[in-house]
Amino acid sequence: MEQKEPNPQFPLSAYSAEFTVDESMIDRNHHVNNVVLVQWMQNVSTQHASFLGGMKMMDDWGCAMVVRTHDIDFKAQAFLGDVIRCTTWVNEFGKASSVRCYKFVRPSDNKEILYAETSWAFLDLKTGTPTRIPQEFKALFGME
Amino acid sequence: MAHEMIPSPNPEYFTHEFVVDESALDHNHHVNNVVFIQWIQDYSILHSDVCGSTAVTDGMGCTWMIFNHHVEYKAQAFLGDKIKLTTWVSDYARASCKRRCRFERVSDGKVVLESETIWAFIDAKRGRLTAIPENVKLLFQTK
Repeated sequence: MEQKEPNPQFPLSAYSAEFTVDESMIDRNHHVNNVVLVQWMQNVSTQHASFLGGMKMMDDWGCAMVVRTHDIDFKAQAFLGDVIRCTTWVNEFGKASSVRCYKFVRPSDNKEILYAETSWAFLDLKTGTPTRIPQEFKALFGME
Repeated sequence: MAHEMIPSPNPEYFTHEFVVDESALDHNHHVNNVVFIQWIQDYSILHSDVCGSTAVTDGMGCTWMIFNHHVEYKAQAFLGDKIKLTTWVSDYARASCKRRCRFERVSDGKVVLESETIWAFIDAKRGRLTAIPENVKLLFQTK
């Protein structure tokens, strides 16, 4: 997949966290299991939204961002003890959706471990249907 | 999540039914997206186990690794839903295959998720791609 880059004009739209690989994440191929990396995609997204106050805002409105599609390239293996820098950014907002990108890199050798794009829908949890994303929410990410 | 594993007699399409329990749910009271990724992996491996492919692959010193996931979440799944999974290998390249998975809710026939995953065939010692032997391909195909 052709990769996108974070837009430096919107610094709040990007967020990074580091995760360290422990034994529980290793599978029979002696590397980090693919499901663990997808879990990190979710964790870093939630941390990003939380950090900006977005999780509380959605809770107050009875809304949530839910995954519509995942496109994930596993580019290199990660191993026990590796520290992985997980960067995510909101690439664009639609009326009731957003596209979030993910780039995971091992800083020790600068190797790219994962690149992914996820399309999220903004749901009204009462009706279970997509609803318009308020400007207030987009503004948290500096993307009015 | 513990499922009762029932092998399918059909080597081409592997199907399995299970019920969503509490451990699969998240903050939004529906099955979490990462749980589906786990199911995609677990049932793909189970298919490979029951058709004899895992044993043959291990015996050759080879293994499968995921290169790409494309996953479409079509509807939410909730606690108590009975889900029918179907998975099959849809396509082969020299050293990889495309495996598709479909999860449907039995009560209303609604497709909850469809996915396509590229699994690469790896020589475990060298850690490199290697050609998939015909006898491995045949295990996933209708005779």
